[in-house]
Amino acid sequence: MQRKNILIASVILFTLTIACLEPSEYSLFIDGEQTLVIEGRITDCSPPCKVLVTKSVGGEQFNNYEAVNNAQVKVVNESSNDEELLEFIGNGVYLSSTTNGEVGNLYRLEVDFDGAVYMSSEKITSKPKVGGVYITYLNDLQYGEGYYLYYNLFVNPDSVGYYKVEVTVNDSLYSGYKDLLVFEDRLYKENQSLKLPIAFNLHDTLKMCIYSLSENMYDYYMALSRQTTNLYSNIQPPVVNPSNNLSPSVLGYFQASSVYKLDTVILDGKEGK
Amino acid sequence: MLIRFFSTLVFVSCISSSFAQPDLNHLNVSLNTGGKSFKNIIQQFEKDYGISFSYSDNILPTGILPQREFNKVALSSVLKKIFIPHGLNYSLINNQIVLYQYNTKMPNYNINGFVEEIGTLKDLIGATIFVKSKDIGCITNSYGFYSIKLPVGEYTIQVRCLGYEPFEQKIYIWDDTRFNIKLKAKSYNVNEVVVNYRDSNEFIESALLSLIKIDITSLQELPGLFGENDALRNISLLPGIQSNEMSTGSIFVRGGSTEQTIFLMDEGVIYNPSHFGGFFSVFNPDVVNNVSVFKSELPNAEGGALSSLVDVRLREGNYDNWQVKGGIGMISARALVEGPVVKDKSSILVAYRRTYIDQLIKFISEDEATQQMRFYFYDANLKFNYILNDKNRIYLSGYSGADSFHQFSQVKRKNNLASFRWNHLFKSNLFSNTSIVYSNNNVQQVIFESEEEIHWKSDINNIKAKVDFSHYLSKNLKLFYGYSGTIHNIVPYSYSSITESSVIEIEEAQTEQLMLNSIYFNQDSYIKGRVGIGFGARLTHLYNSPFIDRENKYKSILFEPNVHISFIFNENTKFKASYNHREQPLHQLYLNMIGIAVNRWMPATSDFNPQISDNYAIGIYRKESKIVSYSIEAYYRKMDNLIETLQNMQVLYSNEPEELLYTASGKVKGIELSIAVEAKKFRATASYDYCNVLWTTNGINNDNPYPASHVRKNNFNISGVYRIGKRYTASLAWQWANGTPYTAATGKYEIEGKPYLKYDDDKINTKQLPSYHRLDVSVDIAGKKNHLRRWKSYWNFSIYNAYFRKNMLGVVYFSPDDKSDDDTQILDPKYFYLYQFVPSISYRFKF
Repeated sequence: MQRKNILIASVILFTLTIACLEPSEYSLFIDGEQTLVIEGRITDCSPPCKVLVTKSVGGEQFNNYEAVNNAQVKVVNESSNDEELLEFIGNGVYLSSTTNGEVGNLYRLEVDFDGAVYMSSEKITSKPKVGGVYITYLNDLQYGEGYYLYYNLFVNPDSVGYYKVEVTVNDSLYSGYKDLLVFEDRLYKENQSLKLPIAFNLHDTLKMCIYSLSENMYDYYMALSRQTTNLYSNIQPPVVNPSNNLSPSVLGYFQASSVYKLDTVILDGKEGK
Repeated sequence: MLIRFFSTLVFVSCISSSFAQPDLNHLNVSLNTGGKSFKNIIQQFEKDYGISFSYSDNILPTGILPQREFNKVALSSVLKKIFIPHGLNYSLINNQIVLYQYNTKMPNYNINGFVEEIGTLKDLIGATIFVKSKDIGCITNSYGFYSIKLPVGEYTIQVRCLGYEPFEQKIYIWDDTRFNIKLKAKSYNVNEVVVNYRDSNEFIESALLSLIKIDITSLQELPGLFGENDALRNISLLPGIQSNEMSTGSIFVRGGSTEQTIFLMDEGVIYNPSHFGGFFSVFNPDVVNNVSVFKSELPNAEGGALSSLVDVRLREGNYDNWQVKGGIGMISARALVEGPVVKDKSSILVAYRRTYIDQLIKFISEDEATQQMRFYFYDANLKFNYILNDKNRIYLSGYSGADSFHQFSQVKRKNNLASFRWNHLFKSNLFSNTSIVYSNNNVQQVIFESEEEIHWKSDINNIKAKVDFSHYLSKNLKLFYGYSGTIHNIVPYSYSSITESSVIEIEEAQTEQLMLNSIYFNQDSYIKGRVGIGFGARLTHLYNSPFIDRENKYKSILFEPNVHISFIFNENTKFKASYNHREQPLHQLYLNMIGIAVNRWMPATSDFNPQISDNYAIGIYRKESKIVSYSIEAYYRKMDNLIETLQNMQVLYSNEPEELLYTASGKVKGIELSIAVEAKKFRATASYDYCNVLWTTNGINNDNPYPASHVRKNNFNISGVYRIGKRYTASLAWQWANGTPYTAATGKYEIEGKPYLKYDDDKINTKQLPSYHRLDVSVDIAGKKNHLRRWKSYWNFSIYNAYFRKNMLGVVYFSPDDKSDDDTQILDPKYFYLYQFVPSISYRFKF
């Protein structure tokens, strides 16, 4: 149903605009040097800290990245000065086994690679507070027919909260570009009811993680998501890589979050947990 | 003079007389001067009234006087009106009226009036009035008014106006004379868009560098998109003007960005001049009277833009008879009714245009989601005017237009405009116009949640009061001066939540306000020999937030001078050089979303000063033969305080947009060449322009210059029209241009398992899209019996992009995965293009 609606809307819009996409005969990339990419995340849940170190590749290459397996990755709790060297797991992944992030603490990530040390500091912000959760059956015009999950997010009227939602359905991460569910609560009421924009099926098992973000990380994810929706590149302003919190400048980010987790199964009728 | 007078007396005293003493003030006489010489008139007085005249034959002017009726008017008054203008005075001596020359310098008189279309009395703006033997003339102002100062004598007045038959008439000037000129519309429309090739015999002022006037009626026969002959779509055929194919409202003039152009409708600012995200302009072609495009050299009466001004004047309505016009294209229909309220004194015009595609969808699909789709735009115009008397006219103008897209969410955008204008003629050489104009633009987005609606609104409006004077002081001194006061009120955005039981204002960005008070003057062209000079200036007091409580109020004085010098090499070759300095106090921050263009305005602040530009231009215009003319113009522009932002900046929703903006400077070098060929049945124009624009932005591209995102460096256009018989007109337009520059990705990497693009900071806009070229053709067919009946009909068949060229307008790195059924996007670089081949049919009528 969802596809049908989108299809009809697209046909009408496209009939009007007669717009099309055309594969290019030539490369739409230009050459550039390889750049280090650091994906670091520390949370108050297990696994506490995971860092992926990779390198960018040319636009026409088959693979999307090149793993960096010879870096030294360290996390420092700046409040207590405890530091831990992360263990190399393989394929660019470095994992902490002991460090648990704590809300309010400031953490510093250090990646030592090729003679340079790349650093970033982030503070774990307050844990997302979720009140009631309920599931209801809807025939949503935009997202189709199915079961929808609603959750009540407590909003602090004195400050702005930033969040990222990850959803796993039947052990598979819901991971389209459109599902980079990042939002701010600036415009929400104190007990805002939010709908996950995903239609679930009966008996689906779903895991929802709501990560608290800093404003910097929110801006980073928003900028990243805009890359995927950029249609009119020629009439828009210049484009650059999203600003991040790593120094010296490389690609990627270091995110420090507290997490709200929910595991549930879609059952017949209204279900809550 | 005394010697001359006394010598006349001596001569007179030698002439005997037998006539009685006349009482010049009480003797009423009747006289018709038509076709008579001065001697004839004297003889008639002597015969009919027994009055004796003494004079020397050699002081009487030669020639025949024009028609002028005196019916029982005091003799003294008649003598004054006949002889004084010709440098003759009179005295009553010994019962004789002695005529003598009192001054060798003849007095000057004003000939003035309006140039209008026969029948409809439509004001013809920009018509040239040329006095043949004197080599002087002028151009009608925005209300069709002209005034020329001439000594007594007989002159041949020539009048030319685009789209009208030339007019020529002899007129005898011996007093201030109101001479309204009525022109006949050309019986066939030669579809020439570029008109700036004026007859080489015209005076130097007509070589107005950088002014282009568009014959709107002829546009109806040019190829149109979806059968809509939009007033602005073909504007990019003009050298120096580029447009984005996606948006008629986005034009780039001499390297300036789209925000550097102001669109006026009957003097009111139209903040967003396009519909459907830019496919059509808000100017209903049936209602448009005149379009003037000023490139760089903007009139001092209108400030606020760095690059260009598109001044659209709407029709005032038919003074003579009632008329209905209309048309239907592939997606919209339109109708217009106009006619006299009081014949030859007052007229009214009502017009409406609306797309009907949403109504069609209702019939085509029964699907609930599709049924809920509403996608339309409309324009409504109302005009009224009244000629109070010879010296006063008033005009009322109203416009309302909107776009709406409604399905899962709603986006609605509205333009409203209301204006009152009053023309007053103080003296025969002093014309004034007073205007009060209100215009408004608002955008509203509604997101429908299960129990509430989230409304996002953005609003900008302005109120403008303006008084202009056109003062025709002498044949060389034509001053234009005035005052303009404008206040812009901006609500950048507001959010509210609406449920069944409540309306909650969630957030409202701080209101912004900009007040501009300007005085200005302009001297059109002072001509001495072969050289002409024109100059002017605009002085503006800028006040950011005068009536609202705000921390950082900002005040500034803007001074915008301009000067141009013309030189006539010979009657076929003219040269002109110009300089002007412009300042733009209102910044436009733009963001294009799919289908709907959303803009945000920001008044100049202490951090983001008014944008400024210094513009230098030189041009040569030559008429090679009766049918061929050409022009070459070169220009250089230096711009500062420009606003640049980055694609990932959310300027639209920010309460502090300044934090997301960069200041930039720009340099533009350009050359424009045009050749026009005009024969009886054929008219064509070819133009080429080169435009190199480099921006330098602190913080972008490592502070090095980079090509501006919007400009195509080389552009070549050809347009031509051929009239085949009485009923058929064929036309074509072909455009070629470099692709626009874009910032190409230099690689890719993964975040959270998904690929993203890598860009290099020092490679902004270094890659170019493939060349753009397109051929449009059309045939316009007049109804067989149009000449026999009142109902006149026309069919237009056109093809947009006739040879199926896929013109790349942008790069899309991410696109929907065809293999996926959940709308997943994948990294799959592609070009984006529009309108591969659009045939269309439209029908229009009038009765």
